[in-house]
Amino acid sequence: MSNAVAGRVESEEERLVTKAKAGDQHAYGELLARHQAVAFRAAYLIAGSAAEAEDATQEACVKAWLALDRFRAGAPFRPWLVQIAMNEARNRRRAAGRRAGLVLRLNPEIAESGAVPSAESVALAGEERAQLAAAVAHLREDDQLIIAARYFLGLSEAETAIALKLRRGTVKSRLSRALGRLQAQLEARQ
Amino acid sequence: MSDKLEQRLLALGTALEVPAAPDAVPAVLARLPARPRRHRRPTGRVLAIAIAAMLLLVGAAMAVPPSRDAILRAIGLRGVSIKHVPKLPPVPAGSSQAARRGLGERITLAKARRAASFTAVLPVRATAAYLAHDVPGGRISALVGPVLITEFRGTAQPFIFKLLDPGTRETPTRVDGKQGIYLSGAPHEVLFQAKNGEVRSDRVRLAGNVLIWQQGPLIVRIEGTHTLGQALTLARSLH
Repeated sequence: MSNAVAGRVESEEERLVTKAKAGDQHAYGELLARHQAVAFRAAYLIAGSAAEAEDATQEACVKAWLALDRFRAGAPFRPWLVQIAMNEARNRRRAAGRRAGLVLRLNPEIAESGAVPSAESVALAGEERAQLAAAVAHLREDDQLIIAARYFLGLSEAETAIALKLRRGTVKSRLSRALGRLQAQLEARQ
Repeated sequence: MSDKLEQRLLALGTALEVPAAPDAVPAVLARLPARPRRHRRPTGRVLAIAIAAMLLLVGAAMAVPPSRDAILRAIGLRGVSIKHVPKLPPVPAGSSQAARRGLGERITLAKARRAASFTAVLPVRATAAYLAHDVPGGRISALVGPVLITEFRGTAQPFIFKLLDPGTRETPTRVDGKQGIYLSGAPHEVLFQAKNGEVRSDRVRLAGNVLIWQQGPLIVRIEGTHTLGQALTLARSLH
């Protein structure tokens, strides 16, 4: 995305946020339409069920609305919504007595055939994917979360910092350590 | 090591099984209260006034008999409102217990948690479960002996209306920090809003002691306990 296009997107989002903060529910609906999918994906990876993820996402969207006064003008809305959705999903998982950690299920069609129309997926054969998912699942939860934010949700470092309530510099160092531990897990499994 | 590992993680991300995100926007917008603003009166009061005003506006369209002209009062629970009346109407004879209660279709306990559009919270020792579709998103009911637990999604539009006569006590309470209310003493009448928007006077149904509260997106009610303490104990055991 060029800087000019990114600028237009950001200013459009800022306009929607400003209107939503003033109580415009239609503008808030437009904001949600842009970012609900990534919030749902984050909630699903934590909660592990579509129903729980849907409830957590809805609840997060309502809570975000109620907390818009605390949302800083000019800040990105997407990672803030993800942060609230992740908290909701964690609370639901805890209330249900399920263990901490992400639920990483592989899409069977992709895992078996490897026929995915994306450059990244070609880089990873089906069996290798399963081993990598298992290794990630064995990491401690904060390692799993930072890996999920960057690689499974596609958040930037700055967005990851907001979603996980970390300093930006901490994201870099913590991600580096998480990848190191993941590498060690993979080597131990060979 | 890092670049290759990062590529593999990106590839793993594309291969994860994640269902398509349902469109949450309509449901969320239906649930949004007027947003609280700083330096104003408390949210609950604003919300109550807004709902009461809305109810007065739509009151003419509701099939509530004109004798029940006391003002419907929102109690801060989405989908629930209360109305005081001098005297309850008589109750006609009903058929079966379930029919009188209007619980809907009997379903297995195993299905109850996922049968509606939400994840239901259930008692450990439920003896029967029912599903009804008379409210958007469905309604789940579970029985624990004579005690009835009912759940549905809270909506901006009230779904349950309570008619209280002077013998019914209202006790504000909290369930795990969530706002609730306990209605006890004399039985009270329950009105349900039908899908077409009409509020039906369910003459066959008089409710006993009821604890009702908001749990996340759900309104949950427990009916038929002897005391508030029993109701709260059961409420906290739902999972």
